[in-house]
Amino acid sequence: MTAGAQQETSLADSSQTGERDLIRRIRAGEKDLFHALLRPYERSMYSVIHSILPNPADIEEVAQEAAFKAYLHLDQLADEEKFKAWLLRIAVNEAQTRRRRDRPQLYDALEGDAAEESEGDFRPRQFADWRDWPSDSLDREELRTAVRDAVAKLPEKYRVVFVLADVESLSYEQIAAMLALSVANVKTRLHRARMKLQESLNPAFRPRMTDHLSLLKGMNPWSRARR
Amino acid sequence: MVSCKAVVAELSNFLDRTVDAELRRKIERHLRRCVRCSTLLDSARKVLIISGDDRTFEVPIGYSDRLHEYLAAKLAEPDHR
Repeated sequence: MTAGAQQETSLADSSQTGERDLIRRIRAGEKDLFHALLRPYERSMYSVIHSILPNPADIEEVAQEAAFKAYLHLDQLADEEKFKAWLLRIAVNEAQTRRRRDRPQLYDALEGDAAEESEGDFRPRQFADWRDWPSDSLDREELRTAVRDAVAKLPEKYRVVFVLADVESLSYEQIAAMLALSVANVKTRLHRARMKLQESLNPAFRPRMTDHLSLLKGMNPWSRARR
Repeated sequence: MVSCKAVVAELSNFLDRTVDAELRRKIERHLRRCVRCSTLLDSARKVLIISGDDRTFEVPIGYSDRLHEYLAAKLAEPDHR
């Protein structure tokens, strides 16, 4: 379970009784209650679809289609406690379908890669030094913008996993089921996404001069590290 | 003592607290001595905090309204349930 997923679990417990009740009432015919069921997750839908489709108009269209599809197939939701994961899986599927239709050359971008599982030792060549940013400064727009830009630059297959795990707090198992990947693949992609983010964030936050000089000389910054 | 390479390879698992107790102790010992690995961990942890902040990935103004208007129109169609 990811760090975010652990926190989310306890928060979700208190709201699940109400959610189960909503689902039962919608299934019984009170269809307008679907708005209330969807509201807590509409942001998540946007984020997840955005990790696959860049165009805002496409994102909204796919979110609308996915939401309606979820309503139509609500009877197929096997576990009422997992509505969020089920809804986001529909959103991912709809976004992938749209991307395959519009950009067929990228058809395989999200597919699993067996070789990937054994290649987990990716190390950032350079990375941000944020020790001087105290925790209470993390709500600065400057930092949020840098993270947002870095996430946008991730390869799609890493970006989707990162968003599902670290933005939406889904578990490895839920993500694996959603993307038809093994749990090992999910962990590898998440690790790489996190490390690539560190690498990508470095230039935005001015490496210390010593790191900068070593990079200019073509040195690996790890070479001076204590082993 | 574990190497930097081993620590970085386990960094995600360390952040997610999915490493076993023995390995966790070894990594913590390494982090106390290695500035680079502890810097990377600190930065990675801060990025996760920012990523989980609702304000980082905002939705366009009016998105929610448009979504629910679409749904209301679809739900009002006679064929659906």
